[in-house]
Amino acid sequence: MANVVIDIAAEYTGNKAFKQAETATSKLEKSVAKLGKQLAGVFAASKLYAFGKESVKAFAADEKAARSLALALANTGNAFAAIEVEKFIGDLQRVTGVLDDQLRPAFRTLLTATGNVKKSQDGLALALDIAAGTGRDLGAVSLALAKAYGGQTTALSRLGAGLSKATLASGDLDLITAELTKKFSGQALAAAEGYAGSMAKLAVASENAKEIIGKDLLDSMQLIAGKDGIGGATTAMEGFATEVGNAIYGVGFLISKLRELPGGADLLQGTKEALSFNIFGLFSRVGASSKARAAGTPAQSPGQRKAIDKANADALKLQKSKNELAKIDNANTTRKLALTADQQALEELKKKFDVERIGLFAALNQTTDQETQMRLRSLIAIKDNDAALAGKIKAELEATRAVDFLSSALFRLSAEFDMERARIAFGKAEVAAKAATMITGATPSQSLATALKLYPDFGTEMDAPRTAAARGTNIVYNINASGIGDQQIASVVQNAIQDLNRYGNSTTYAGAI
Amino acid sequence: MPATVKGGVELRKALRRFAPELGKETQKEIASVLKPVVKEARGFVTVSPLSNWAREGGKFPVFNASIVKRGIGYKTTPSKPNRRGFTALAQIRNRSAAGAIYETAGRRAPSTKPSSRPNFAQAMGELSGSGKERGRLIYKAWENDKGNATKAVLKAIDNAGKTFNRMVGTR
Repeated sequence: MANVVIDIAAEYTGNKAFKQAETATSKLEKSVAKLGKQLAGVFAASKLYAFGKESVKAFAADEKAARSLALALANTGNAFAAIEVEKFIGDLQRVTGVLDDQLRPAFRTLLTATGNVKKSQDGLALALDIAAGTGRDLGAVSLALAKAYGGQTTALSRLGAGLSKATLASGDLDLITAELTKKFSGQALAAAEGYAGSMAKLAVASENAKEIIGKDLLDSMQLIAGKDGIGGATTAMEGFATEVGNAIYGVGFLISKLRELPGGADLLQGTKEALSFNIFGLFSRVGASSKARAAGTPAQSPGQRKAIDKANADALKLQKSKNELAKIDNANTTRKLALTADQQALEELKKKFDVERIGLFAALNQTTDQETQMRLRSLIAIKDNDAALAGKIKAELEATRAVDFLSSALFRLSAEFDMERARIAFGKAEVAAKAATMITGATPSQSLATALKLYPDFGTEMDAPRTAAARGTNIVYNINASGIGDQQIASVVQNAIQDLNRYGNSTTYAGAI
Repeated sequence: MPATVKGGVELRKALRRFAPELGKETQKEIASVLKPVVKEARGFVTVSPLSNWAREGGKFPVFNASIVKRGIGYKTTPSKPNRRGFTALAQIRNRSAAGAIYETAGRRAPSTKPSSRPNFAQAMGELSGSGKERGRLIYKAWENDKGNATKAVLKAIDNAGKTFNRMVGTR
C-alpha cells in the first residue's frame, strides 16, 4: 500500500530482532546469575564450615595451653595463683597485642625454670620487651631467659641483645636482667602502640573471637550430639555448618530480591536493622541465657537485674496504691448505702404528714367509680414519684378505655347490622315491586333478578321518590297516625312552632299581620 | 531525519493510563499544529497533473483529486516501529496511491536509473525539499513550514511531560 509519511518526533523503541537478542541476553544473564548464586552458596557454606573448624581448633589449642599452664602451676606448688596468672596473661595480651597462645608457653617455660610466679611474670615482661626489641620469637627469648635462670647464658648471648661478655660470664641473673631491662624497657609497649601494634591487637581480638566461638560451637555440638558427646558431633557440626550456610544464602537471596523492589534500598536497610536487632539479637540473648543457666549463674546482667528489681518494686507500689483506693471506694459505698436507708426512712415519715396525699387517699376511699379510683391512684403515684405504679395504672386506664371502645363499637355494629338488614329487606321488596311494573308478565323471581341487575346497590328504596321528583310529579306522603292521640299531635305541633319562634323563623308569610 | 525524543512513547502510555484528559489535550494541541500543514498540502493537489492520468482503465492508479486530497492527513498517536526500530509520535501522511505517485515521482529510487520516466515526472513540476524528503504535496508543505510544526509538536510533548510530572509529583 502506498504510504508516504513524514515522521515527527521519532523515538527509538527497538525492533523485533533487538528484542529477541535482549530476551536471549537477559535469559543468559539470569542463568549465569543463578549459577553464580549457587556457587556462592556452596562457597559460603564451605567458608563457614572452615571458619567453624578453625574456631574449634583455636579453642582446643587455647584450652590445651591453659590446661598445661594450670598443670605447671600445680606442679610448682602455685595452683592457688592459676586465676591470677590467667588474668595477667589476658591483660598482657590486650596491652601488647601478643597472643596468649604464645604467652602461655613462654610463661610455662619461665615458671618451670624459676618455680616462682612473680619471677616468671617479670621474666615474661622482660622477654616480651626483648622479643619486641630484637625481633626474635617470644618462645625463643623466654627459653633463653629460662636457661639463664638455670645458669646457662649461651642462649641469651645468641639473642643479639648486646649483653657484654663480662656480664654474661658473671652469671649474675640480677645483673643480666638489669642490663636487659635497661636496654629493652618499654619495647613491648612501644611496639603495641603503632600501626603494627593495632593490627596485632586486632589479630588478638580475632583469635579470641575464634576461641570464644569455637568453645560455643563445641558446647552447641555437645547439645546437638546429645548423649553421644563430642565424639559423635563431627557429622552434626558439618550438618550445622551446611544449615547455617543455607540460612545465610537464603538471607542473601532475600536481600537481592528486596533490592529489586521499588524503594528496595530503604526496605533493605530496614530489614538489615530488623534482622540484626531482632533475630540475631534474639539468638544472642537465648544463647547467653542458656549458657548462664548451664553455668548456674543468673541469666541477667547486673544492669538488667537492677532494672527488673526496679520494675518489680514499681509494680508492687502500684498494686498497694490500687488496694488503698479499693478500700476507700468500698468505705464510700457503705456510707452511701447507709445514707440511702436513712433518706428512705425520712421520706416515709414525710409522707405520713403530707396533707395533699392524705386528701387523695380520703377521696380514693370515698370513690366507688373505678375510673376515678384509677385516676386518684395515678395522682398518688405521681406524688410519691412511684414510676412503676404510675406506669401500671396508666396501662390499666388504657386497657379500660380500649374495652369501652370495643364494646361501643360492637354495639354500634350490631345496631347498624340490624338496620341494614331491615333496609335490605325493605329494598328488596321495593325493587321487586318496581321490577314487576317494568317487566310485564315476568315472574316475581325473574323480576327480582332483573331488578338486581338494574339496581345492584341495595338500600335504594328512595330511588322511586327521587325518580318521581325528577319527573316533576307531586309526592304524596301518607302518614299512618293510627295509635297516636290528638293531644300528642297537638303537642308535637306546638313544640315545632315554639322551636321555630326560638330560632327566629316566621310561621307566616312576609307582610302578614 | 526526524527529531528524536526519548520517553515519548512511555509518556503517551502514562498519559492514557493516569491522565487521559491531559493526553487528549496533548493530541489536540499536536493536531492543531499539523492541520495547517495538511491543509496547505491539500492545496497543492491540482485537477490532474497529466491530462490522460485521470482516465479510467488499466492497472495504473487513476488520479482523482478528491481521493488524493482525502488521502492527505495526519496522525497524532505513536506509529509501529519501522525497520530501524524508530516509532513516530506524530505523522503527516499521503496515503492514496495516486497521491503517493504524484508526491514522489522523479525521485531517484534505489537500484533505478537517475532519471527514470523523466517525461512523466517533469510534467508534474519540481520536487521540493532535500534528499529523500522531497515531494510535491506533504513534503512541499513541510518544507514551507520550515520546521515550525516540529518545534510545536516537540514543545507540546515536552509541556505534557512537565504537566504530568507535576501532577504525579515526581519533580
